[in-house]
Amino acid sequence: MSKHTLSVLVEDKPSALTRITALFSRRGFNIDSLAVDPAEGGGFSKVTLVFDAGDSPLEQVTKQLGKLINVVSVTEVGRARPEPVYESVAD
Amino acid sequence: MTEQMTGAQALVRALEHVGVDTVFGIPGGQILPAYDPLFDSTKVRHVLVRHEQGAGHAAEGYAQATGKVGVCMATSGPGATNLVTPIADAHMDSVPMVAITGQVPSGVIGTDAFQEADICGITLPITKHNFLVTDPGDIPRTIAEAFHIASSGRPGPVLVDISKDALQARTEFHWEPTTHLPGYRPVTRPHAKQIQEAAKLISEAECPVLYVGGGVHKAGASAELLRLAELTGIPVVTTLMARGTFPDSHPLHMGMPGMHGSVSAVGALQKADLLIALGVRFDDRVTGQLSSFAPRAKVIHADIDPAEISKNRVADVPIVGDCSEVIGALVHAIDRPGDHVKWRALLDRLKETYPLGYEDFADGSLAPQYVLERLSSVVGPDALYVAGVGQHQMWASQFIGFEKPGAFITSGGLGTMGFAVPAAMGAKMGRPDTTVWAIDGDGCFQMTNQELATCTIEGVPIKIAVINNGNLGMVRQWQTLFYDQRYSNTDLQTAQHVPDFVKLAEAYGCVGLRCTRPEDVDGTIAKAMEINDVPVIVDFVVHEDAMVWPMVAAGTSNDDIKIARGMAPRWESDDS
Repeated sequence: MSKHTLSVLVEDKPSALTRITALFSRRGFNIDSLAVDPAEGGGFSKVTLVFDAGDSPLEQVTKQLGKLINVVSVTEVGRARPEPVYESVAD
Repeated sequence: MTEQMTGAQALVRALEHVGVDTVFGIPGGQILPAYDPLFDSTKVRHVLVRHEQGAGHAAEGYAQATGKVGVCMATSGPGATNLVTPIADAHMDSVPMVAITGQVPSGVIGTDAFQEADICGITLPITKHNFLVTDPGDIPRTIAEAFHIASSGRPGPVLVDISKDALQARTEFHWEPTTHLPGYRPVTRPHAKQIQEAAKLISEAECPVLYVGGGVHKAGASAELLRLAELTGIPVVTTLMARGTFPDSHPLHMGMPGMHGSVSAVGALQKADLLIALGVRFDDRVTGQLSSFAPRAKVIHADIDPAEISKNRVADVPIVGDCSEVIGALVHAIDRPGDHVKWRALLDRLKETYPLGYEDFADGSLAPQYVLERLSSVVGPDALYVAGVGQHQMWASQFIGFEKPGAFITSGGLGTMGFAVPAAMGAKMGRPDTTVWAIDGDGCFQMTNQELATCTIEGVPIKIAVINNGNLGMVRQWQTLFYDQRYSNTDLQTAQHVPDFVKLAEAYGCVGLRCTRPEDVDGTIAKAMEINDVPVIVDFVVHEDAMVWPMVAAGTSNDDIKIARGMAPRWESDDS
């Protein structure tokens, strides 16, 4: 058992939540709990997920999340110094 | 400048602006508004196919032959669901494609309206991204974003579903639209530190291998690859998706790795102390049993998709970037040329001792491998070869000599039977001056040959070699090897001429030829090469018992490769 909490900043689009949950289902990760809140600034939502990654490395989850076009950043919550593990930033 | 027009006109105008010259599709109720202005377009040629699956594979073939985005179009419901297989195929093989579908009017979405299907929901796991558009003002921007996403980073299919009312309503058209993709920024330039790490491992390695995949071809990096290989003297293996990216005739080329790879290619990976994996994804058809794959090797893995790195095999040096930039940087970073004389001598011995081979049949019937060998010899390396899926595909990969990048187009990851005919049609439309040979099995051919009508009517003179063994050959091979020769539902009776492929060809306005004897193969191919105004179908009737060798049985180790039934190569005899 390896529980993780991720905070995902995502564009506020109708199918964005489905894309995230479908990804977890398709890659075989079980979501324990999930919360969606509007993010500051408007146009974005913050999705917080607690899930069990099983034997898979967390990195696979964050990379797959990063591939979703609507996902802007992924941060692991609960680490000593939370920093984004995926971030789409302008050069 | 802004202009008033309908959403449908805006769609066609946007397609013209992004440079689309060919669209494969079939109209229907909900996409009808788009077909009206398409009728007037002087820049976009619409090719009316006979089945939407054909439209999707044709778009894939067009995309792979040209490097441009392939486009297909269909109506809602069944039209859209018929595109699902080619979309999934393009997703697995990273083919840039945009699929445009009509959707029921926005007011009735969700009511189970006639021909309504949630195609965005259906294709969510098999597209790089998809869009549902219900506001005509969003059409130009969405088309621009769809083409950008499909063609950049790791290419892939994007679906744009547009409701009928959005196509009919009036809107202001403005180009160039402002795209807004805050979550999409593919990394193409590799990290300098990772390149240094990789260069260090390469200089230390004694038995390195360049494990080259489709990503190298997609990056247009075959010239850089040749430079890297020749500079370092490192042997190369090319996966099914990379055939031709490195010339088969080059002394450093060890062949295709994997389930039906050559002993020298599989042996190179298994004995390597370093894999330089470029644009590959450590697919199970290459690795065999993952835990025993390349057991001694450290891994440098470069790919434009970060999620591929360390997915199946942990990389010691991960490099995210476009293969062209990665290989260019590696060439720059490696300061002294290598030779690897001893290592190469070992692999050369494997290559010499265990060349790809086959046996002729005593009854004088045709060996399928001979047909492919002669096709390669007579037609040569300048043609495009498009294969379906199964035994004929593996023989095509093994026995055609590929010298040029992109010369082989096939369905790799999804393994879609029926790919070849429509994909060859699309490829020929993208490269009309190139000879295009589809190589198909009799099973595959019967899945999509309705597009012969499209080929004849649109003037697309492809050539098709049907490797007709009367069976679902690869499945039959597995039944021979693993199911006590119990041939459950694999005999298609095609050898009894049901259907008669020559008559079928003629019914579609094509030329049909048949070849049953080895001595007629060259003449038949030459005859097919002389016909350039209509499609030609050659029914090569081959022996049903021919099998694809070498073979690594599914789930077993690459170390257990067999060169024929019950025959393993001797690995260690000369490994002093």
